[in-house]
Amino acid sequence: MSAGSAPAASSLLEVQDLSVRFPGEAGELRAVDGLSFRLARGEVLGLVGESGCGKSAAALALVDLVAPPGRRAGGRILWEGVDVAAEGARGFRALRGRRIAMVFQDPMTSLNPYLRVGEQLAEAARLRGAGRRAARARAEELLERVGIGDAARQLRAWPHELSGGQRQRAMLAMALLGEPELLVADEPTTALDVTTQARILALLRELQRERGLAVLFITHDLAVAAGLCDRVAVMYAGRIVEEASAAALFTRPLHPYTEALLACSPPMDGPRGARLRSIEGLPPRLLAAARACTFAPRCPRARPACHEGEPLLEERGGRSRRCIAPEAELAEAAPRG
Amino acid sequence: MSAGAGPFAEALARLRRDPGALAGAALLAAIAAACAFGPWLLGQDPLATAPALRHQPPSAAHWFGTDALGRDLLARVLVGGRTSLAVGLAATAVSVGIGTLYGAVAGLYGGRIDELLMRVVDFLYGVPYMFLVILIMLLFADTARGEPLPVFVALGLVQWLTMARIVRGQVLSLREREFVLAARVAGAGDARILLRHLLPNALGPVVVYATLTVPAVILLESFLSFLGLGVALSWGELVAEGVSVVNPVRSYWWLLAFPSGFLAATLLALNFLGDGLRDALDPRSTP
Repeated sequence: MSAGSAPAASSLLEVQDLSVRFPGEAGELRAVDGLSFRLARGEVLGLVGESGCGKSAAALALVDLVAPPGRRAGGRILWEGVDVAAEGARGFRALRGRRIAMVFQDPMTSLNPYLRVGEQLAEAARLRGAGRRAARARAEELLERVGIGDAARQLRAWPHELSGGQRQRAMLAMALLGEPELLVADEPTTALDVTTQARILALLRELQRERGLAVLFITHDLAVAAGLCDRVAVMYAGRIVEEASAAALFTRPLHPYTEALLACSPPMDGPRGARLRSIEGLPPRLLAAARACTFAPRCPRARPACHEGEPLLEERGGRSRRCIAPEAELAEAAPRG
Repeated sequence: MSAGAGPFAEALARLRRDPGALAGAALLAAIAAACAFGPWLLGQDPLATAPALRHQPPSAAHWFGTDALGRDLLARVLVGGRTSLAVGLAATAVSVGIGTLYGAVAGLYGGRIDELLMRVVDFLYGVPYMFLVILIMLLFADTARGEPLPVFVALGLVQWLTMARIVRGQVLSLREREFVLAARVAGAGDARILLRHLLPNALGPVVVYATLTVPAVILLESFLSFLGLGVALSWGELVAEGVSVVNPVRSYWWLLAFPSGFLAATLLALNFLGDGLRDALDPRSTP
């Protein structure tokens, strides 16, 4: 997978200034606040961040499925240059299944326990207008493709008869039935054990290449993102703080949050029994519009100016970051390979 | 494995291992069969009066004795059972139908629609339901006293409230489950989401509550009969007759004992079956 940014002209999906809010007792929570990114056809973009940073809410907002009372509170979602959000519900329904498919975190709850696997897969095909027989044939073919042996028999199985890995494979098959151009994968391997996780990721990469799929890969696992993605966007407190090609981001982080996240992964050559590092403090409560850098209170490189104004996401040299610390200051800290 | 048991088949298998539920089901089946075929086998007319045979105690000719007009009590209990069971089933069907649809719509759409629908339910909860039933019955009173249909409707109309709340709660919790999201992302619309994904998953509590609604409705109908507002010739009416002849001078115990015995046995059987179903359909009670 080649690293590098896509030119704006070939953008499959462009999100501009997306906001998602959830009403709460203390006021409206800004789960996603001014999120912008671009995704080219066939590109794999990782959306990385800790729990609660708004990754999943952003993904659901792409297809207008934020759970009420939460809502998409503005922003433009451009599919091949056309603003879907402007068309309302109809615009989003045209995206679902045909253009955008999703795979979720927990394979144990993403299949309806009261439907046989085949019925659920065939449903996805029939929603695209396939006949009963054709839908079944497609379901079997894709189940075979995602590596479920004896697909004809597994179509008649109930979800609870499948293992976690098999279910996630079935979910991938279901997502691909609609021949989407973009696959949104929301922590698809988080609930799986490490071995299964590696297999599912390998399968995902294979399918992505074979079909030229664009993938928005949401994860909190930096190592997984590094292995799979062309570009990685790091989210903190509802917005992107740094975006770069995977190689550049991991070898030379230019935002203190990215830097701190990377420092939290245990080094391969570190001493045994060494304490794992963590980032001091807690993410902010996102009740009001940011007036300063949201990471400043936890940032080891914070300076007085950081508490006074919110830095913009600035692009430079094919990557962007939301920080005023000089690049040289971050770069001189030992880069990790 | 591929032809393995689905969730419903497994629930049925669990039910089969529950002696209480089995006994309840067997007793219920026996009573239902007796009421369905008994009068026909017996060859006694439950309405034929025989002045010479008034207040006969149970005997070989009349197993349950006779009433004040000489009518055979066994025939009357069996025919009355048909009415009571039919009222229970029909009113429950009405309540399940209305309650499920109402609750599902409230839960699925949420927001203002949910608020409005649920405030209506709250309001109806506040109105004493016996008062509602009597009101509905009185609307029909001129045209159809003793007819079953108004009773079905009246009882169904007061029983759906709890069902609506149960279904709404289920739908609310299921709505955000990932398989529902997955179906939505695949392009499924509201009707498909509701019928194929939400309702089958909510069916367990609905079935259990329906099973427990049947005895409640039968009891309610008996109470209406007691007030003279029920269906003609039901267990409730027979019990009322039995009570009316209780006096310190002569005891016509059979007139009270047999109808109440059948009524109580049926209610007991339904409650046992309902409890068994609740255990069987609860996925957490997997043995």
